Order: sequence, then C-alpha cells, then structure tokens
Amino acid sequence: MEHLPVEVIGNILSRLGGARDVVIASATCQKWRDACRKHLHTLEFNSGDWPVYRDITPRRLEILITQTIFQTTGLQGLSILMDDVDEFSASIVIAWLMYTRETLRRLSYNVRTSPNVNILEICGRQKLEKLVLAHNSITGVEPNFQRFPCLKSLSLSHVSISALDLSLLLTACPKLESLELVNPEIAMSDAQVTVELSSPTLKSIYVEEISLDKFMLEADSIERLHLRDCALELFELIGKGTLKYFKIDDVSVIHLDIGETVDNLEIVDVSNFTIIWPKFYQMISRSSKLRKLRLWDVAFDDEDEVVDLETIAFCFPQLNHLSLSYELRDGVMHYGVQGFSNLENVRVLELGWTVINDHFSYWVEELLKRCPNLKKMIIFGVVSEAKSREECQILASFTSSIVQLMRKYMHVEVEFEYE
Amino acid sequence: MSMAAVETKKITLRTADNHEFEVEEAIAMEFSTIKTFFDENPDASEDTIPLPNVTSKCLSAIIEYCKSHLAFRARETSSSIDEQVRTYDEEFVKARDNESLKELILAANYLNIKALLDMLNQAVADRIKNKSVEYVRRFFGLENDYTPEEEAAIRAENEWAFEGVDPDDD
Repeated sequence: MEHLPVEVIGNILSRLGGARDVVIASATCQKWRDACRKHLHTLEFNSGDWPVYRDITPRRLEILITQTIFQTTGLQGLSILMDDVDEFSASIVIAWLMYTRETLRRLSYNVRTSPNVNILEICGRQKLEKLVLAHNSITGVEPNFQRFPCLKSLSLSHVSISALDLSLLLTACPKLESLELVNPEIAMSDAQVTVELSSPTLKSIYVEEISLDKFMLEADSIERLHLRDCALELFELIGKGTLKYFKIDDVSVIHLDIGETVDNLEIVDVSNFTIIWPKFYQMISRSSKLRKLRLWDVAFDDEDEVVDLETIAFCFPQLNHLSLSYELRDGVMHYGVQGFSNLENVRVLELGWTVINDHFSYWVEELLKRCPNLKKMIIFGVVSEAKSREECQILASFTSSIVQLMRKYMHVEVEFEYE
Repeated sequence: MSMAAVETKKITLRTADNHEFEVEEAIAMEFSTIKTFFDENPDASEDTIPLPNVTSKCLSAIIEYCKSHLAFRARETSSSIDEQVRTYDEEFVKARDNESLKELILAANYLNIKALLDMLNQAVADRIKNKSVEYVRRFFGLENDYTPEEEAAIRAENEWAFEGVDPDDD
C-alpha cells in the first residue's frame, strides 16, 4: 500500500488544527511526527474545540502551548482562543510570537496579557495576512516604523485603542480588505467621540456595539457595510459608489449618509430601526440594481408612512428577494398595496408578523398577487409563550386562511418559522 | 472540422488497471499534472496519457467530481450554489470508506487537483478528530515504528493530550 506523502499528511494535520489531535497524530509513527515537525502549517488551541482545556491551569496551559508550538517549524496559522483564561504572562506570549513570526500568516489571539503585549511591534513587517485580536490593547501606532504590509483581514474585539491609533493603524495596513470592530474601547482626548477612518483598499467593514458621536469612513473600494447594535449621531461613508451590501441591525443613528452614488447596491437589509421614509427613500431609490430588500422589525418615524409596492416595483425592477416585517396599520396598509405594477423578478418573499391579525392575511394575499413569478414564501411569526384561547383561535384561523390562499398558488413553496 | 457544431476536444487517459477513459479537455485541464504536461508538450494532445498510479475506480470518481464542480462554477455565484456545492461534497465523501478516501487522496495528489485534495484532506481530518492514537493508526494503516521507550517519552512529554479521548467505537 502506497503511503501518503509527508506534505499531504501535513495538510491533513493542519486541517485537524486542534493541537491535541495533532499531538495524538504525531504519536502514531515516525513519519507522522516528522509531518508535525516540518509540514504542519496550522495549529489551534481553542477552548471551544476541547473542553478539557478549561480544567487546565493557565500556567500549565502556557507550558503545553509553548512545548507544542516549539515542536513545529514554519507555522503559518496560529490560533489561541481560550475563553476561560484570565491572562497569560507577556513574556511567554512574546516567545510564541517571536518563534513563529517569520512564517506566520494568520494569528488569532483572545487572552489578556499581563503586562500588555504590543502585537504590532512583534508581528509588524512580517507576513501576517489575517489578525484576530481580542481583549488586548493597542497603543502608540507609528505607521512610519511599523507596518503590516500583507495584512488583508483585521478583527478587533473588546480591544482598547484610541481613535487616533485606530486611524493610524489603518494607514499601517496598505492592503487591508476586511475590518471588523466589535465593542472597542475607544479612548478619546476631548469630549466629542469621533472616529475617522480611511482606507483605499477596504472592501468590507463590520462594526458592532460602538457608541460614538461621529463615525466617518473614507473607502473608495468598499463593497460591504454592516453595522450592528451601534449608537451613532452621525455616520458618513465617503466613497466612489462601490457599495454592494448594506446592512444595519439595531442601530440608532441620527444622520446616516452612504453617499450620493448608490448605483451598485445589491442588498439592503435594515432591521430594528426607525425609518424616516423620505430620507431612506432618497438614499436608496436610485439603486436600480437592487436584488434584495429586507425591512424587518422596523418602525416608521411618521405614522402615516408605509412601504408601498408601486415605489418598490418602480425603483427596483431587478428585485429578487423581498423581506418585510413591520406593524401594519389600518388605512395606511391599504395605501401600501395600491397600484398595479408587479414585482416581476421577486422569487422569494419573507413576511413577518409581530401581532397576528386580519391585516396580515390580507397583506400576504395582496403581495402574492403582485409577485407573479414567486417561487417561495416564508412566513415568520411570533407566538407568545402564554397562549390564550383567543390567540390560539386567531392562529388557527390564520392557518386556515393561508391554506386556502395557497391553493391559488400551488407553484409557490411555503414555509413557516415561528418563535 | 464540421461547421455545424464545435467538437469538444477529448483526451484519452489510461489507468493502472489498463482502462481507457476519454474525457473532455476542460476536465483534463482540471488535473494540474496533465495541464502542465500539455503546456510543455502541446503536440502531445492526441496521445494517450498513462496514469500508472490511478485505478479506474478512482479516476471515474474524480472525473465525476470535476465535471460537477465545473458545472457549478459555470453558474452564477450565489449562496444557494455554495450550499449545493457543500451538499455535493458531503455526499461525495459520505458513502466512501476510509480505504477509498485514502486512494482518492493519493490520486488527487498525483494528478494535482488542489480543490479536490483540500476537500478530501478536510474530510479525512474530520474523521480522525478526537480519536485515539490506535484509531488513527488503524485508519491509515500505519505501523508503529517507535521503540517502547520512544513512545513512552512522547506520551510523557505531552501528557495533557492523552487524557480523555473518545472511546473507539470500532
């Protein structure tokens, strides 16, 4: 039987990733130990992979991580994600990084270090392409002396960094394509909390749990923008109209500006947001390439505002996927479904209720009529824990009405999701 | 050459067990080993390429895989296509036993089909996750060539890794 070449074994072990499994594999025979020593390119110590890590003291973890890393050569990916460890000592972490930095391309690290380790100083100017950092601080960024020339993907989670350093950090990454900021601790020098970032190469940005006065992003290549659980007074995107994907979820922002040119927008996904319809309409009405529109658990600033199908049909002829869930108010809802234009290209319809009533069934029916080429419909419902007899009856009659309705649309696949 | 329809160029491959397979050029070009060969020997396209390291069983599975993936790639990228690719890959691997997976890996490595090799390597890695040393040895048909002292030393040095392994279920 022909044996696997040692590089292939190295590849398999790298996909195994978890340090414990790699050590076990190296104990099978000499060739496999050799593969671990010379051809292993990825090594992971993730508490999520192996629960036993939680029972090992941090001191002992430091030792076993050191031992295992030092048995490898040419490591390209290192991941140390230990959720239950309070901290590792800085000198040990520095040793790990110094040992691997010549070849390291991907680093994930989420343990506090005491005293704080300056990752930039140790990993800068090397081959790093992806950095995922959590629970650490970044200070004293000097792009003239420290750069990440290969870094494409940066994720900072619960990281303490000043607004200025964050901005400088982006200039220190001339090839950055993806940025993720989760709950950063942004130290500010004056009263107003402002973040101004600029990156000509950035394609995707995700920001979660940030609270600022001003957030300005200058990104001429940006394609994806996703904000979640943010409180902002002003968010401004300055670019060249390259944005394709725009998603906001549970965000409060007073002034939102994603640029004049929105020709390339393909997906707009807004949830848990209060929409000022005229402003919103102005923002996206020229996105004639829009394929997916999702307005979920949204409220309208003006009680008389509603999303009307005529506008949607007119502005977004290529719309393929429509998801709507908001409170349907008497009178206003009827206005929303007036008109004759069809949504010719809509294949998937997702409709949700928070309170089930007759309006909803009527609305579903009207929407079905306007989507002649629909393939699939998903109904999302909220069912309260304490189901009163009346609620059960309403749900039952709703079910009957949908069954009856769908008999007219046998070609449409229907799914229900209740929570 | 007929004017009515463009004939797709076919390449003939001969396996270790002397079966000949005629494949479309596009598929043969997925095998980097063959692509490189043709890049360097453009006049050799009419010849039959011998593949002494690949059985007919392996080659037919590999051809199926490449055909399907070429078809997926021809379609517009979307998340539903990605899911279909994932499902296809899972099915491709699920029915095969450890021995045939190993044969496929060797063949994919020899023919240098990166995507297939990566996928198979991942599938194999998933099968040996959280298993004991003995299980991994059995899976790959490995001979333990450590002396008892060497093996004891490895286990002592990395004591932490040998605690609490899944019980072998075969």
